[in-house]
Amino acid sequence: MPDLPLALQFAWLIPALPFAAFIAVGLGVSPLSKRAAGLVATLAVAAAALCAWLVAWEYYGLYPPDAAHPAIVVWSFEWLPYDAGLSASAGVLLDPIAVLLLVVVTTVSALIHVYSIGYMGGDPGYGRFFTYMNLFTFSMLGLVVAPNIIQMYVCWELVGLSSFLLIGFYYSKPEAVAAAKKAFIVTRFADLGFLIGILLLGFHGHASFAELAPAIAPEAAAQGVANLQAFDFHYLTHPEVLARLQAASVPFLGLSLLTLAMVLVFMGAAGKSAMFPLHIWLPDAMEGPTPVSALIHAATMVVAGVYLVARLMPAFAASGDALAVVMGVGVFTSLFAAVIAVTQDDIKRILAFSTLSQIGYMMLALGVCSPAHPLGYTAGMFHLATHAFFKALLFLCAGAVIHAVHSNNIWDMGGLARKMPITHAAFLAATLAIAGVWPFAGFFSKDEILLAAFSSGHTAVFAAALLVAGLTAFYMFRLYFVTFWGGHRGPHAAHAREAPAVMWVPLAALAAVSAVAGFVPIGSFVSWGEAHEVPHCIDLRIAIPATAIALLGFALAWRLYARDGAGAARAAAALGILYRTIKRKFYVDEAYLAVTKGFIFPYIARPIAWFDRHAVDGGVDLAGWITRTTGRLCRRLQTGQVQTYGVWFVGGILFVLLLLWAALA
Amino acid sequence: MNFWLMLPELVVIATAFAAGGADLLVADRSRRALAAIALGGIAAAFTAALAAPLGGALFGGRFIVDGAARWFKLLFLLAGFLTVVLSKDLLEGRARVRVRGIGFPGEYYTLLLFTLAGMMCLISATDIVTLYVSLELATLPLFVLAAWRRDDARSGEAGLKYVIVGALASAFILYGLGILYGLAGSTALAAIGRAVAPSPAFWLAAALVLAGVGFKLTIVPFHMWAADVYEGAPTPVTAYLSVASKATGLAFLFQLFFRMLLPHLEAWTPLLAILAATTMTLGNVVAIVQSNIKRFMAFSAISQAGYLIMGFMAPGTDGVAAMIFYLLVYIVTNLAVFACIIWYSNETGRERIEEYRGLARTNPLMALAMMVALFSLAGIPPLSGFVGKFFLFSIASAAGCHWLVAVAAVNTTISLYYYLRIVRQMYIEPAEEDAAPLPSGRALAAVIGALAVAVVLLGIVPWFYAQAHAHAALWTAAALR
Repeated sequence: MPDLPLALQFAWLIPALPFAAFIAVGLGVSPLSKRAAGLVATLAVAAAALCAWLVAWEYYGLYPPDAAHPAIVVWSFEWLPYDAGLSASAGVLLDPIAVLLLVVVTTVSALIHVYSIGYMGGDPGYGRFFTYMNLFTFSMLGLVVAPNIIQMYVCWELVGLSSFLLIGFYYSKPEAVAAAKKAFIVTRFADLGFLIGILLLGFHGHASFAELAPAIAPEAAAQGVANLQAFDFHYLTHPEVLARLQAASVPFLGLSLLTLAMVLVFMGAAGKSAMFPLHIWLPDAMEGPTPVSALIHAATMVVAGVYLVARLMPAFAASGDALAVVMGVGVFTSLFAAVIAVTQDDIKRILAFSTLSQIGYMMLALGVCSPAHPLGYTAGMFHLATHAFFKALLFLCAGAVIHAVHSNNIWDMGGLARKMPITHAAFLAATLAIAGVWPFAGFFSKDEILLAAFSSGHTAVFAAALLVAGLTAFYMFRLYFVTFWGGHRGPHAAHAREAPAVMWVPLAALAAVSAVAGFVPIGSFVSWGEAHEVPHCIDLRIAIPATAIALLGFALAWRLYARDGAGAARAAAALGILYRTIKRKFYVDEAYLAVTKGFIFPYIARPIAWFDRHAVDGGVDLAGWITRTTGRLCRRLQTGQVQTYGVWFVGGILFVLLLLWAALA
Repeated sequence: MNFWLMLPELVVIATAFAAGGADLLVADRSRRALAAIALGGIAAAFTAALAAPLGGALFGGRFIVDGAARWFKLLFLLAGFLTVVLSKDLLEGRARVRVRGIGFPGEYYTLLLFTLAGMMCLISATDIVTLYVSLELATLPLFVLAAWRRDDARSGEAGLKYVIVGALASAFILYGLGILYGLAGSTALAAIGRAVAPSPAFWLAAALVLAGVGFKLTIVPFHMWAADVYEGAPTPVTAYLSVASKATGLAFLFQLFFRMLLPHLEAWTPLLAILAATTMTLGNVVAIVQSNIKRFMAFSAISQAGYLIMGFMAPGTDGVAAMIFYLLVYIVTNLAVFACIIWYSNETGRERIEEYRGLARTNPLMALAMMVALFSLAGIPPLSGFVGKFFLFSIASAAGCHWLVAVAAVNTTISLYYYLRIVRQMYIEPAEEDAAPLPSGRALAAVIGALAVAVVLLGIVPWFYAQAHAHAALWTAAALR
């Protein structure tokens, strides 16, 4: 490893700062002073953001744009050594996507921390909120910089935990508790697949480690991996290792080992990123405070699955079939969620389904990626970044609106454009961005995904993606018109007031980023493989239909919702049962409930509970009773008379004597 | 002859006389200087023991300092030092609950220091006469200390019972050692080990000596005295008995087994396994039904002794290391618990387990320290008690004594139950209506804090075990030569 710039050597500070703040705020600051808790937490994340930008600057100083961008490990330490090649280490890996995510996560997180100072002000759980937020930020950053799959998994679970804690933040509300449980159980269930996938990869990867490592180690050492391990991404994504894993087959449907492992890993990714059919937790997760929805359930944590797929892209690509699964799930989820979003009435749920749909979009982009057509990789990560900004912005605006009208239902709002001009402007910018209107950020990233699908020959996927783009424009403008236009409908809408500066300044910052982020020549910074096929100008073949369909969606929303909802109601009535099905989210939740309540609870859980209650508990009680009775009996031996003690003493000697006699004779 | 080797013992003895003499000279007001003298002497001896060269011998090999000897001496001095700190408040009349009939502090320290000197000589002795004399020096003053509260009938009863059973044990040991001398014609441990052959006389001698050691180490069925003595003795003395006196027993066993009986040790392991199993089981089941915390700690200490001798299942370096490491852990942890008990009884005069109710509300830090120490005794990771037990259990397991490991594991579970009883009183039961935070002296609070931290550190910093292992390696290398 050549001498690294100082900023890269100290890249570990980026996750370490929020962690230190988590400890400090949780244990020390928060009980002492509430104000200080918010301040310390925010400053720590802001400092991490500064470090992240410096790291990005230095990384691209070391490896200029348009050149090769190796994945370098700038800091690591061995953590749990087991065997040669089999030790978990922790460290910091930097490559374009890690740097991109570092910048996005810290920046969005810092802005949302600032916003939260205003939004959460006066909440009794103020200190707790910032403690959890710092824990989350640390975990997410640890996940992003993980140089091996073990650290990834540990941080993966940590973000799951912080998500659980924050969804259930208002723990006195039964819905919040139920939502937190649902999120945790669903994602944990998915993580089981991830874990099995890791174990498969680790076991079979380690089996050929002794053979392959000598060839790979020098290469990895040049990129800062001092002591190569079977769990390192440098090893797991190496072509030779992948070829070996692909050649191995498992006695299950004749799949190759690699495909099975990667599908299992993707199961974890799908759980965290709320892909169909594991998406059910995300809409409910909106029970958490709005800044949490913005940071965790829109901008950062839910894209961890996308990041995981991108991180293991060589492995997915080598398997092929696994990547097809990614693509299929991505396409279906993006379409499915966009359709549901059209019918929802809760502002945060609309945004949640929109998030599902957009993450499906990113998955789709990664799914159409191949060594010959690597554009999808760039496009997916680009959309991840832009989406993080504009979706966070949408949620924060939603938070400001909810703050003002005390309701989540969009039909209680209306006419807020005049009451809350800054929020309105920011929301409009974000809506234009997500709808893909030039020159907002979403236009560029979405077009790149469409181009990636089109140019790699997946015409059907392209068509579906185009349809989703239209739907997105429609439901977003529906939301926009109902919330900000027309007359005041709810009791509080008439008295709504603009949010305080500490809340609208982050909105303005995010709006600015959402407006201009599209002009970043992302292809020069983030790319996969050797081939650079990233266009540096707008491809009109894509831009024209995409803009046209977005305008179509906008026009339809204008027609139905700009004045009142009467037209919409007629349209809904005309669609009849189809509308109701969509409105009930295709009855997926009900289907889950039918399976769990109808089958798992009565036939599996209840017998186990009975066994536990009677056999296990009874056994434990019996053991306790026996022990206590023995104690009571033995206590009688202790008479308190020295004579007794003497008798026992002599008896003991005889006993020892006999035993020795028996043993030694 | 290199008398530097004996410097720690000499310093302790000199300090004992200094403390006793000073008591005659100083005024009542300046009695606290006595504690300072005792502490200074022990600290000096500790430094001397650290600095003394390893592997030297005096008096023609009758007094040697090797790895285990140094380790034990440091532990004895540590226990002695802490006991003096824990005794100060009581002796200087600073306990909130007035206790009448407390003797002069100077005498107390003198006696305490004499026992320390005895213990330290014991682990360095290599012939049975020195061994026996050291053992008596380490035991006799304790009879007096147990009866230290003149006006307290329980304390008197404790002293009396202790002296009767102690005399019995002493007589048996003396008789056993006499037979050994008769069989071998030598007083040197190594020579006896070479000379004796299996014979009924030898077994009788071994049984008698083992009974005497079992008395010190509270091995069932030689443990009976412990409950009454622990309950009646002044609490700092109980603390000292539970750690230093027990360590003396282990030191004696080390002398016996490693210097003398090493060739026969294989045959001893089934017996020791049975004794270990009965000791830990009886200690545990009886501890469950106790209500006085000192009596409770007596049975807890009995069961801990059972775990401790599991290390003899594999009498090599690893076994020795596991035992002396656990001894360190046990001393630190048990003293931490006793420090809290002493503090609480000094402040309130209460000794029943139910009376610890709500301590976490009134004095959260004290309750935390006590909880950490109790969890460590129960063997909860990552505290040091877990690590120590882990090494001992793995020794027994590696030696093929799986049934013993199973018994020990079941016992650990039982012990968790009764240690949790105290934690439950402190944390779950509500405090009394008028309960106010209790004050604590600076020295005592510092000791409790330091011990609680040490309980954690011993579990997570591997340096300590590495040290124990290094000392054990030196010792076994010397013993096997």
